[in-house]
Parts: sequence; C-alpha cells; structure tokens
Amino acid sequence: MANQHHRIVFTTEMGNKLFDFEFLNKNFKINHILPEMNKKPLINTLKHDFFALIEQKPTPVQYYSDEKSTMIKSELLNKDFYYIAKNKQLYKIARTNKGKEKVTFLYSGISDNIASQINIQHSNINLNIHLKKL
Amino acid sequence: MSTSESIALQEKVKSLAETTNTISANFVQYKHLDFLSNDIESSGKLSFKSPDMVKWAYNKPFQYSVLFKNDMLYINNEGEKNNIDIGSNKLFKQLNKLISSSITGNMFTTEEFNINYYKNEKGSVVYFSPKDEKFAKYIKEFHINFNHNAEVSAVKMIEPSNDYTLIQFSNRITNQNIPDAVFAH
Repeated sequence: MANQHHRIVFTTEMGNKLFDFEFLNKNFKINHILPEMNKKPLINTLKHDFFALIEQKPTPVQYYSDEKSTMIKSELLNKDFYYIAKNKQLYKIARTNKGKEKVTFLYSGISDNIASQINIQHSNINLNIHLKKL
Repeated sequence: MSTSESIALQEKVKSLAETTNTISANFVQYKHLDFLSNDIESSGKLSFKSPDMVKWAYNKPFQYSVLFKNDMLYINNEGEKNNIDIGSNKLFKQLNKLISSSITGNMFTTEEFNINYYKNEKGSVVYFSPKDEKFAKYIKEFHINFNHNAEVSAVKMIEPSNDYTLIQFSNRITNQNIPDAVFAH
C-alpha cells in the first residue's frame, strides 16, 4: 500500500472517548480530544509515541548487529528511535535524547509476529500506556 | 407518544424508582465508532443500591470494575486499584448522578434536559438532551429504553460526533439483598 493510514482512538472502559487521532503518512490530525487533555505537551508526546508504534518500515540511519540481535537507529519527527530485535523479532523501541532513554516501548507475549501486550513507559513524565490485544 | 401517555410513563418510572432499593443485572456494552466495522463489545454485571451506589463489574474482555460511592470513584483494573475523589469535580458529580438516575430512568427534569417520548414495540424510548452546554460536549443525547413494566432495558449515550455507547440489560432483579462485599473496595 502506498498510503499508511491509521486511526488511534482511546476510550474509557465505560465508553467515553478520550481522544481520536488520525495518521495519514506523515500527517497528523486530531478528530477529537477531551478538553481536559487538550494540552500541547501531552498531544506531542502521544503523537511521537504513536508515530513510532505505527511506523512499519523505519528508515535506518545506522544499523548495528551481532549474531542474535539487531538494532536500527531511525529518525522520526526529529527524534532518535532505536528499534531492537532479537532473532529477527522486534521486542523493544527506545526513544532517546542526548544519549538517554526517554521512552521505552516493550513488546511481550509475541506469537506469529503479533505482540499480545505493548508497554510504553516514559522516564521523564508520569505516563505509562499499557496496550493489550483483544 | 401523547402527552397523557408520557405523563403516565413518567409516573410509572418514578413510583418504580421510589420503591427500588437494589438492582442487579447483567449488561452488554457496545461501543460504536463510526470508522470501525464492528462495535467493541464488553460485558459484566451491574449492582445498584439506592440512592447512588453503583458498581459496574466488567468480566469481558478484562476484569475491570468501577464503583461510584460517596463521591468517590473506586477502580479495580485486574487487581490494580485506583481511587478518584470526585467531590470537587462538578462535571464528574453530574455524570455520577446521571448514571445513577439512568439505571431507574427517573431523570425527567426539564430544567436539565430537553425530553422527547417515543413508543416502540418493546415499550418506549425517551430522548434526553442535556441543556448544559459543557455537559453536551461529552454527551449529546441519552436514549433510555423502557420495557412495558417501565424498567430500563437499555441506555444509549450519544457523543457529539454521533459515536455512541449502548448498554443493554438482562436478568434484572430488583430489591434482592446485595452483599456489602459487592460495594466494598
């Protein structure tokens, strides 16, 4: 597919919509966000997180590997990301700033290339996103 | 629905609400998002104790419960507990009150809502549109379905975008003692 088109919507368990983001290639659109969450730093953080998550083919700027592991350094929206794989299976993405890990994406319960859980942890702000496959 | 029919429904719902101390029911919740081809389905058990204690215990797709009690919100997410004090949050309080009243359907307050009444095969459906602009940003309209006994059979909450949450109740049991443990946290 030429176009990468994603829609990311978070709701509460009771159904209220928290936000509704749309990603078409490198374009980002907010379809809806709760007024309480409509803060630029939060939106930017989520935007960077989700761009990294949905990126299907990160463009490598550097490539590291040993027998078992590979690490691809890539740039997304002017941020450094490292995609780390073991036995050709991606299990971690790290976003760094000045050599420090700022955001960590951890994939677990992987079978047939699909993770049952993804954990997104931020070291500089109190925000963890825990995604579970339905 | 004629005016006399709507008044009769209101009175029936009100008197039923006044004599209802507890309700327990199973529920299925459908989250409809326009861009998804299938609604997101979850289900669980509702427990209500008059006047305003409500517990939604989901068991599908995950164990998750939310308890509204004494201006507090107690959340249990697969064993991980969180409490939120909603006493100081006007909007939350309003929402809590509305959730409690929508379970019995006794929310015919014309100061708060524009209300329209319709008949259907299974009973009736009443549309409540919040007059409060701030509130209407979250929920544009409530559709409350009543069966022929004036019990709430389903609640639909419609967002300004027209995406909605539909909750259908079944096995509704009223005025049976609910153990305190259900409302413990």
